[in-house]
Amino acid sequence: MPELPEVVRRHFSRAMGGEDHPDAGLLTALIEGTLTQTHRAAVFDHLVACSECNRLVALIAPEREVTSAVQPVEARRRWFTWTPVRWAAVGAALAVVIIAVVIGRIDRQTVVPGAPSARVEQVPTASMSAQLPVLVQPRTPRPSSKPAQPASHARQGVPSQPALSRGAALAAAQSRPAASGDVLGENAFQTSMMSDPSAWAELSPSTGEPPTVKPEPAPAASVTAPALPTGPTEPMWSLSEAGMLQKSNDRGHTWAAVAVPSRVPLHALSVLGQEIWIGGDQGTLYHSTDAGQSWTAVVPTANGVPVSADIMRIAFADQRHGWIATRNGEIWKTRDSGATWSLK
Amino acid sequence: MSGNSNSSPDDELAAGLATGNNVRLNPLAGLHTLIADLFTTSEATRFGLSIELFTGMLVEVAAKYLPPDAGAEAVRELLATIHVKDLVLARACVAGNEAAWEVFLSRYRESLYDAGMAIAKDHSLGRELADSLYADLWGAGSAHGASPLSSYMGYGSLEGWLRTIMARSFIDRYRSQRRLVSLEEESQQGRELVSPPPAPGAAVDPRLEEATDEALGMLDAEDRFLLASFFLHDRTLGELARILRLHESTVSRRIHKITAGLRKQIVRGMMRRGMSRRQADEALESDVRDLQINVRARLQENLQETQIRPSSQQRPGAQKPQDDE
Repeated sequence: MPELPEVVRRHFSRAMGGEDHPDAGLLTALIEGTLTQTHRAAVFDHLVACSECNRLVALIAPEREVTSAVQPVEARRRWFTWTPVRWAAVGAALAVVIIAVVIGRIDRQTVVPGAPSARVEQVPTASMSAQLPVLVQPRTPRPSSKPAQPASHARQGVPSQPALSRGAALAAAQSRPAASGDVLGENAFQTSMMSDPSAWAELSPSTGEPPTVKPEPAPAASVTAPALPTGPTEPMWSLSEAGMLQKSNDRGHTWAAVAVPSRVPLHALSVLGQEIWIGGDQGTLYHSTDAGQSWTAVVPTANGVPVSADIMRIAFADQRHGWIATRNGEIWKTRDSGATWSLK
Repeated sequence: MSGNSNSSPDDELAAGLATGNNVRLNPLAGLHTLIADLFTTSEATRFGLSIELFTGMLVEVAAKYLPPDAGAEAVRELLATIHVKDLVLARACVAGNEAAWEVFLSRYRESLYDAGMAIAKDHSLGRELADSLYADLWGAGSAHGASPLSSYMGYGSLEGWLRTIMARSFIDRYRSQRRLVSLEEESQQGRELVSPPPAPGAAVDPRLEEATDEALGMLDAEDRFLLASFFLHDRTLGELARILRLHESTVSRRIHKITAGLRKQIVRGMMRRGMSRRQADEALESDVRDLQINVRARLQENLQETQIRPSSQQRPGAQKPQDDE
């Protein structure tokens, strides 16, 4: 600690012994950080001059957790302010960008010609992946079908392509504008899934890895990205802007509404082979095991209390393990194809 | 106390304004909506306090903490800061409201013990402090004279205010115990604390004093507090961190920065007053402990200008620490 110039010390000393002390309310407000601007300077100046009040303030300042809470931030700032580290970080970021651009070009050149078949290859791992972009998919009408779109799907789904990291997936999803009114439950769901590695392990018992996130273009007038087909002849599924379930048998060129028992708007869709789950307003949840031919109403219940909030997200890792997220932030989990549920 | 819970706060306020003392209500003129909101927030009706009494409390608060000519914005800022629920509870306790005392007990009894132990750093002494304070609050309120609670104005939380009162009580007790030390011990201890006699007068370059005054005046009040507390009052970094709700390392860096900046400012000030850089550095670095400069009057004058503004009739905002009790 540097030495205070003696002349300053003398000035402070001479001011000591102030006559009038601030009352307990002012000192309390100072400690609690609620002192108004009107009194701030006067109280601080008194504390400069009055050792008695200075001691009193030190005595009443409560022990706080701020020390431990702020310490890591301070530590980070300290090493990051070291100039070489700062430049190294900039260099590393540039290198990542360059590598990404180069890989992207190579990938585009090699994959695009075989796009339709390549898209099929991604399917075994795509059921969960296809749902994640739904989290905050903007409610924009789908641009007219372009031949390049399937290629885009394929390019991002090629097995050799490295999957996005968990953090990148979160960032990718959060970077999109949120659909109006459905953010809370989705974010809660996403946060829960992203922050809980065991959740991924449960959902993907084989790998324990989070699913990849792929920016999917929306189908015509759809709310959500379509669920990708799980086989060469299987349809694509999506939800329309009005909350209707729809299906495409020609890889998204045309879409047809699918009849479901529910009359309420649907917000969530999960497709895994023949297994389809749809969810919507007021806890509406339906399950089909025959690719939408028949539907069964499912009422997730925990401790005798059924889900009542709007279901905004559904994700199934396999036939048995799945999660739903509601608008009010609840996360429900099943391990037996929806027979029983637990509320996280 | 009168309970007018059936009529709306606005009606009551209007009635209060119509029948009340206009001079008394004057500081809050034009703030009816804010007062009505605060009245609702305060849950005053729970303890049977009418809006007239509530408004009277706010007038008292404004009179205590603001100068008579304070503008509406200053009043609004102050009232927005006031803990109205705590204020109403304290006043209801002072008035002997049983329900208020029940709330007070359930809310603060345990925290008073915790605060006592934190202040005294001793379990039994802490409990003794808390019991003593509680006896003062309760006994004085019910039997004789005004309870210390009557001096609570809602500035700062009631819990924090009680803690402050208790800390003052602790300091007073410590001081009185020191007075009981034997004369021989005291003289031995006191010898170390007695200020050295002032050194004989010596000439000091007034430019140094002026530059120092100027540099200190340019500092923020909180920065002056940090410097004085650390270098003069021997507060630790941890204590300052708790007082300002910062991390210790942040406080340390700030003190470094302020000290370095202050030295630069003083040197620049001296240079502006005709000193060379070398002369300024030498003047600042030279040991001037044996120099006596009578600037006490000037500093006191400066301090008086920044003292807390009292009301026209009393200076409760700038009273002795013991006045609260």
